[in-house]
Amino acid sequence: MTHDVATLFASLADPTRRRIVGELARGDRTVNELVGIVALRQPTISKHLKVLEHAGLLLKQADRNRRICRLNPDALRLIEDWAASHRRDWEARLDNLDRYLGSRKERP
Amino acid sequence: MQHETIVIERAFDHPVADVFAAWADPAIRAAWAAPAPGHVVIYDQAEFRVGGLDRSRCGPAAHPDVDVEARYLSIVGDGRIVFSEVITVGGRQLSASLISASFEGAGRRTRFTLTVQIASFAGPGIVEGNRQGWSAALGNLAGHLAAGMVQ
Repeated sequence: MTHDVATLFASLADPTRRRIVGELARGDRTVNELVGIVALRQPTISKHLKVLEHAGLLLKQADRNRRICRLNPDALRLIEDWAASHRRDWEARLDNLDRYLGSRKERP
Repeated sequence: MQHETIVIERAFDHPVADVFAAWADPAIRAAWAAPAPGHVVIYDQAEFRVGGLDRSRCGPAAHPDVDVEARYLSIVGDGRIVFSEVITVGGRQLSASLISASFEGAGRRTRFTLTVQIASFAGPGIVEGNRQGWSAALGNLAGHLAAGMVQ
């Protein structure tokens, strides 16, 4: 399992995999449930799940004879972080600007 | 491609001319535009005029490898600055934004609004659910910056 942003984004380049991740964002699903929801054959779904698993997005858990898929919160945080980083950067810059303005007595 | 709009409103306890000058002058901008302690913004080109192009590199002081190219689209003194911004890392474009900074003087204070409309080429935008979780992180970050930035 990698936790590399580039691999993560690459794994999400495929629309079917985005759909699977979107579905798992609502809750954990078994492989069979995903097959039903995404309406593709099981080998195809399994291939996509393997890519997501390798990218670190997906965790598979065996529960008796069912395989439960869920999203890995650590990987989600990595993606979320990227999206939120723009706001954080601008908030931080404006904090700096405020401090800068406060540090000057008069305009030159 | 993912799109998002970020709106940040601020009130500065400073006259609008000072706030505007801090954006207009690249030397001043370099002093506050680095988003984290230890990070730098280096301007290789700065043309603050409509149609002008800024080229800068930013990131950690040891390896400022984020390339930023900004093109000024509209400038009204003490009123607004609108520019486009493309962010590239290692030759790969990460995002393109339209950034609108609006300045409104109110006596000795300035009402300021920043609107960032960003098209991201690196984020899939499928994980929208947990935004509120980040407000805490933002608070921490602000506190961290305030503590670390005694200059």
